[in-house]
Amino acid sequence: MFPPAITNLLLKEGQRFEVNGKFRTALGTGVIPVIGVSRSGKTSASYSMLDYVIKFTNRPVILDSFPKKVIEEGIPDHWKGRVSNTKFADIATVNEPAVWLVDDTGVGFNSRDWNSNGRILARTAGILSHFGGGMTVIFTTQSLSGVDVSFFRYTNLAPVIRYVDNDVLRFERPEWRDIVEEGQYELQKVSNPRHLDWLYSSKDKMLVKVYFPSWLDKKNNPIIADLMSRPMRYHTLQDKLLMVSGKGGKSSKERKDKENMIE
Amino acid sequence: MGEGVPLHVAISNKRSITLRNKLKRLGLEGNHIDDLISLVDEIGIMNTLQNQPIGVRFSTVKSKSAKPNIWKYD
Repeated sequence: MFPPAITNLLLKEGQRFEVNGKFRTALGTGVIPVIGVSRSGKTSASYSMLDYVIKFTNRPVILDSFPKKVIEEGIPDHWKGRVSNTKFADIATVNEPAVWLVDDTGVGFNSRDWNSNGRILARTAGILSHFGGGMTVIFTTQSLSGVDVSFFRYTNLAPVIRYVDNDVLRFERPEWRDIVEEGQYELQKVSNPRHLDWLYSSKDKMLVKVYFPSWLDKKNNPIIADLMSRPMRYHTLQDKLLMVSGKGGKSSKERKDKENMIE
Repeated sequence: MGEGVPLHVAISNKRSITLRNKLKRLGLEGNHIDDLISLVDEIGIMNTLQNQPIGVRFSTVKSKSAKPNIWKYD
């Protein structure tokens, strides 16, 4: 269903999959960054990947810091029993080859919050393949410039590009700008303006048609569709405030002023 | 775009425009007249391109655009 680079990370280590008539053995560990502006279908595309994981592997799925309401009322029946909402900070407590969905990474793992979640990413990236026998992290973000760079340095990547606005693209990390731009060029060949049905797998250099699970269709059940497509909406007010203020991070006025300066 | 000669003709060769006006005044029409106009247009475009760098000349060549590389699966 997904091209080789993505399948390689979604399947469990050692599982075999066919590419052009030849079998390959899945690595089963690494990071799948899903990049796109808001409402570009990042989370929905991630669910499509998780649905594949649920159907074709026995790997547990962890929806990082998802609200309890979404876990209880949003997830489809065939996901039940396979899904939990452990915090990514507690990754050491998970001893299974889990597939994580870390949604809207720019908020939770901002590179400016180096003293908090940013450091967790840096520490775990290099040992993802050890924890639980090899874990995979799918994370969605609007721009990689907001994500700590250490997360990309030490592991296998299969970046997924969705629609990124031209004005946002100007602020992308220089290391990633090329592939995001390439993705936009390729996507506009098959659809526009927001390319909701397509994604670009930059490692495979391929466009991929995305088939969304029926339970994500607003026409079938608008409540479940909304619970799943913007889960962070359903956090309690207290949790939302903590997310926005960057809990645990060093947030003195002096530091903020320094960050906002153009050097 | 308004009516008139195509942009690439207008900026390539003034003779193309002079010829069009002349033929129009004389009231001459037909396939052989169209062929004559396109012959002068093409000579003018080639003259202009001769003085351009290879990149500009190459970009005027008609070519098939690459097909998008789409992942196919069962």
